[in-house]
Amino acid sequence: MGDLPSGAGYVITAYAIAAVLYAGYWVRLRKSGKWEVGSGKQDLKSGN
Amino acid sequence: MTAGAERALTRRGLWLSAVSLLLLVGIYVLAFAATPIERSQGFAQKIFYLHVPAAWCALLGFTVVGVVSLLYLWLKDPRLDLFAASAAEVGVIFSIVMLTSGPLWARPVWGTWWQWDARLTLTLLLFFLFLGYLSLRSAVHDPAERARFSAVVALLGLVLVPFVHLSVYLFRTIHPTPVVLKPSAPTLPGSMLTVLLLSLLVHTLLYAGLVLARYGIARTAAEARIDG
Repeated sequence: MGDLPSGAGYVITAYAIAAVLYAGYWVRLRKSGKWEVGSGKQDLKSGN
Repeated sequence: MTAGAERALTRRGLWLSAVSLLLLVGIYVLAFAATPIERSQGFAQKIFYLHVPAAWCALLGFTVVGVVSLLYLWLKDPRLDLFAASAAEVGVIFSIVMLTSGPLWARPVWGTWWQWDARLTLTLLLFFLFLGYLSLRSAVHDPAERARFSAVVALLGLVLVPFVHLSVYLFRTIHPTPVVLKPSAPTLPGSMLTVLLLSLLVHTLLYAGLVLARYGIARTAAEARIDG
């Protein structure tokens, strides 16, 4: 890891957090979409 | 709108956001490989290509929530309430990226994770306001009351947005001033500006796709409630 420039750890962490959040939210939407399209009843109690 | 149309809306949103996520991989590669290392900030400056577009989408998102909520209070169309809620949820995701990437940039450049200066504090307040907006929505069960109360909270957020953007001019702050979204020409060298503008475009597409998908899902759930 000695070849990495100074500050690279911060940069990689920031980009990794963003990637996980964006992709994770997309997967969550995809799952909710399938659920609701399939049954049409998923969100009755949550109010959302 | 029919169930098929709502399903198509969700599908279109998921497709747009999936394509945007793939394009975002390209932005990551460009940010690391095609931009020079900035002289004073060093490698940490590369966080800029992520932080600025995330902040843009968060503020754009909260502006959309505020404007659509204002329209809801006027027209009382429940679809506007569902759209505002969808835009707020996605805006919170982009806010988390903004609020994590900012301190990760500040630590190596400023020597501290956080400063309680005007820009940072107002941004944090705006984030908490929209967390409150989403909490309020899950706490109120009557749809009309929920829509009205949350629209009022969203309007408070809308008032805060220009203060967040202009805080670097209105107050003494250590946060850098805008390099693109300002009255004069952008002050960035060629490749840095190109990657930043591409990242802004891809993030905006991602935001639009996620909101569209979330709205389609919310509409499907609302229709199911009516049918059930």
